[in-house]
Amino acid sequence: MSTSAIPQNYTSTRADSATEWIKSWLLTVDHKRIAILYLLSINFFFLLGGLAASLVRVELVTPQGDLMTADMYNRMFTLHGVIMVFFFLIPAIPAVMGNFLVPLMIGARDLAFPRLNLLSWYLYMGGGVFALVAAITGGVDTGWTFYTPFSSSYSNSNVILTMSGAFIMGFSSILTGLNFIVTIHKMRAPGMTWFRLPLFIWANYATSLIQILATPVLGIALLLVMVERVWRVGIFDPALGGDPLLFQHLFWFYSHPAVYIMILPAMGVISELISAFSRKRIFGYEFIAFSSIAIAVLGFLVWGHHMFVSSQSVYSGLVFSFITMLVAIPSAIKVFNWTATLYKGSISYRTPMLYALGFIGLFIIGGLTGIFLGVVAVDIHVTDTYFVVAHFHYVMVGGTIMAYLGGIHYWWPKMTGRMYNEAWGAISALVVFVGFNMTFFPQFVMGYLGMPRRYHVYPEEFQIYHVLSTAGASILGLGFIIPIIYLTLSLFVGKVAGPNPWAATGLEWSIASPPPTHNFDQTPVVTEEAYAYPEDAAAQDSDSWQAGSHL
Amino acid sequence: MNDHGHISVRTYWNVFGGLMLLMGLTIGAYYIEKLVLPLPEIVAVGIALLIAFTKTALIVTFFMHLKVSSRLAQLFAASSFVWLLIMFMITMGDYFARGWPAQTGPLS
Ligand code: HEM
Ligand SMILES: [Cu+2]
Repeated sequence: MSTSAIPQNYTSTRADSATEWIKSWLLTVDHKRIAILYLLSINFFFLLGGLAASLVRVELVTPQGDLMTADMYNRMFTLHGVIMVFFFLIPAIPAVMGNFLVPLMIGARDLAFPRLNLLSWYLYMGGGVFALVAAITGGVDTGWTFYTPFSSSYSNSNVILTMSGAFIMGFSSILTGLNFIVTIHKMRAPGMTWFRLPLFIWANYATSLIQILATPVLGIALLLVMVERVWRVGIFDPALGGDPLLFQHLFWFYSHPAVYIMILPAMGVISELISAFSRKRIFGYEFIAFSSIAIAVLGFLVWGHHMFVSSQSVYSGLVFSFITMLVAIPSAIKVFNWTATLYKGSISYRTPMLYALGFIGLFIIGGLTGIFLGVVAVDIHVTDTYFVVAHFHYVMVGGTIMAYLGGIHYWWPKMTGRMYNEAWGAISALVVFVGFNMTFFPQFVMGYLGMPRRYHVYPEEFQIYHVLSTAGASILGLGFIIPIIYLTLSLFVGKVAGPNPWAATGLEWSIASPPPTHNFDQTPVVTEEAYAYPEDAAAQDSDSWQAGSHL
Repeated sequence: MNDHGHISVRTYWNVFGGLMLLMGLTIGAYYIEKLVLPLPEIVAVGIALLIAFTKTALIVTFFMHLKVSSRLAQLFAASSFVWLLIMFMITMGDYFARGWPAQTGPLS
């Protein structure tokens, strides 16, 4: 039993009993184990949010409200939105992949504050429990945006419980950001200069800045709604002397930057994937790095584009519209650089790359429709319609979830030491892509034609689009379930991956898979830039290609 | 490696005393305004904010160790105030320009 061997990797333990084993996970301060805890819990919330989405989509198959009452429908899409935004999209990539990879990529043994990291996970779970209890005991009907004065004075659903959940989860997000910033500043291995950092690190650094600067404002806004609800202090309700628009200002001061909390880490993942599967140095490294920072900063100045049709001053609207155009520039810079990286690369269409290419296409559609919405005159026509719903699903599902899945597949061999079934991987990536477009493309059309969001009864002329969308959602759902199956199977039957199955650059690929508990036996010394693929790697690959070798 | 200087326990108590004093001042100001000397709202709120800012400054400088922290930590702390300023400025810009131009459309 008690061999004195040191655990070989972070997943193996010396625990003798089941309780000890459980304790060794729940009380761990190892960033890699915490990443796994996050992986499991975040995926749980994703499935739950997906369940709510399915019920919404099933209700919408017919123009009548036959499955749910209007009130139930409100609670259902709110549940979907709250869970997906606060408990999946915001934490997903930083908390799972960031936690696992930030120390590995910069050559550190752990994050700067390992205990704080564990606390973040508990806060996340604590917030999740609040949200779940709120859902089980009746749910909320305010929408994920919690607009006042409905949320503060009129709604009689579980507003306070849900808001507390989001509030607590916010602290988890702040602490993760804090941890990353300190780690990236202080714990880089010798030789790992700022401009040798992988772009995933730059992206997470920019995200962390947003997390610590914006999240407190959401916390305060939610707290003020609760105060108004409980003690009738007049802050947002005009009947009490407040201003409902103040809530929208505070909420979007957080929530617009929050959409960049979702997309920036995703862009970081894509930079890694594109470079690794083109076997080429990334094009325009500095531009991609600085565009992350530019997005983080400019993202704070555009929140009023969510308020064009509120009673916001038209002059404010004008300025917000203009700055919204500016923020699209750094996003476009990234897309151009990824595309330029592909040029003359040796591209292999492995599963992660399929997701990365899917990301680029879908993000372009999502981003460009964002520009439509940023133009006041167009937005007045389509605001609060399915056009907006389609826009943000293209960026959040087509962007963030594509990158999340691509990243999970890319680093799966590193996390678990096993390869998954490549054929199933490719199939499900295609299923996700097709299902996704079928679900959300019709929503652009019906939104433009006037289908409002958040209604469960609608004119018959829109039915065809809703039926298409629900059919697409079933395919999409399938595309999310297949990976759960083959990834789980790979743990038992997968081929052993070895340290570097993709022949990629980066410190994380220089150590065993799964990584040893303390990551690096000796502190690595970095002597080259990130993505240092040989100049002629692509040419060599194509020369040595023959029928039957890997794509 | 050690960026931290030292703040004595004595200083902590002094700051604590100062904070208590300022809290008394906040409450006192409320009663003076309500009972003795009714001030225009903008002045009253201004005074309350001034006291609040002083309290914040004391907490941040001493309890949060900013006084003895590295330049980098100070920079991060300062940036959060810049961001606060951004939030206030743009939000107040909206309030300021709310009624412009006076409604001339078919609705009025
Ligand atoms: C190219 C950059 C982008 C631009 C110019 C843009 C612009 C806009 C505008 C103007 C709206 C308001 C529409 C309305 O309510 O009438 C909006 C809504 C939204 N956008 Fe974007 N967007 C961009 C990228 C993103 C990204 C990357 C995400 C998330 C990952 C995102 C998520 C959202 C969400 C969630 C909403 C709707 C919020 C709600 O009302 O529930 N956007 N976008
Ligand atoms: Cu926005």
